[in-house]
Amino acid sequence: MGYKKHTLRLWISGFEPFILLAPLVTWAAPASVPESYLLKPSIKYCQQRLDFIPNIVVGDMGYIHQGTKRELRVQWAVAMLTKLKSDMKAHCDYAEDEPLRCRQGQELKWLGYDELEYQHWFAPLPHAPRCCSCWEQSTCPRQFAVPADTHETFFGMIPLNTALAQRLIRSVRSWIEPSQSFEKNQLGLKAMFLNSLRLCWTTSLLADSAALLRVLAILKEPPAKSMLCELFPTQSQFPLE
Amino acid sequence: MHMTKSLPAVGSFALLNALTGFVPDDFINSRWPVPHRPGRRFHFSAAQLWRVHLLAALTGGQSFNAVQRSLSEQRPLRRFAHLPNERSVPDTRMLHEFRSRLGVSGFRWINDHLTQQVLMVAPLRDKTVGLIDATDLPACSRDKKKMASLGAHNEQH
Repeated sequence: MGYKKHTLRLWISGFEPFILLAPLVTWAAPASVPESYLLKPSIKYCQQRLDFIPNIVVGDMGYIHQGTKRELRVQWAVAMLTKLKSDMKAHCDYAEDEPLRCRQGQELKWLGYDELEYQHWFAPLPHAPRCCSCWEQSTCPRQFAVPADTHETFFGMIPLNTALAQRLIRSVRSWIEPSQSFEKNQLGLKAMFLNSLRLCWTTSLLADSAALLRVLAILKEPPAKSMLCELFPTQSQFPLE
Repeated sequence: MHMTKSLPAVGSFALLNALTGFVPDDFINSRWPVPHRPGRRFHFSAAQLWRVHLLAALTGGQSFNAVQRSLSEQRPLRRFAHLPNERSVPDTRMLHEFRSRLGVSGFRWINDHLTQQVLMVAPLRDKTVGLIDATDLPACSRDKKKMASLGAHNEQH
């Protein structure tokens, strides 16, 4: 018996000294409510109340309904990224660690997503070895379109076999745990006496308020540069291009 | 680029001093003004009462009642909540009434205001990234459990 705090957080990507996440929307719900139910309301809430929608949302596992992902992609132009579930992998023709190939077996590079036609474009790498000796060379368009709904979880707006998607799923997703730990252990959400959903919601929102005030304080008064900064290891950059 | 530690630890009075200037007092007071009604006077503004509630999180997860008790003893807490002295401290009933008055939507409005301020100053790149997560919070059900021994005792009579 318990509750769940569902939070959509924003990564302040341009802040370089350290990773900074700001809570955008929070819902408190009975523990039986899965987070996938609150994804669409969170995006809608962001647009209505904040006039802002993140371009990419990284989820925990692949249990978000494919219809929901499609709706987010088509209606809101939001890329929803989740891992492929293990049972999904068995029935999927594509693999996260395998590049797409043309029918002659040449590796293809992802060019981008066409928001008007809802399809992805792929092309062989320049000077691709198999293209030079391919018998279809004269008729080959050298660009291949794959509709995004071929496999919503795999393709979506960012195919899972691209470096960008893998970075987001593997690196960015792991930043959640420290945020949750901060709220539960330091702001004391875990220790609070929560005997009603209403109280749970109120305390969750107060924890978010504290987090937002900290973010504001950090952004408006950035920390002073350490005198030993030249000796410290540097924060790696994470370009999204 | 490496910086020194940015903010004091949660639970310290230094953190309260660092954050106090960012609390949107004007927004809160304008949205929930002190009601004028006959009878008992409201002593505290909405911003003061919200600050008292916020102390529950900023002092490391005390209950609202524990925060209320600490207010009369701890001057830095009163300073953060803009309470002038130990005699003028809101009681637990006032805190409860304030929570009822604001409701969940009221607390959300305040957070939305803070979020908008963050979005205005946050350095964001071309593609923005959000993360959705859920974390379990255990419910305290001691007050809702049936007392087995008491029931057995009653059956005997």
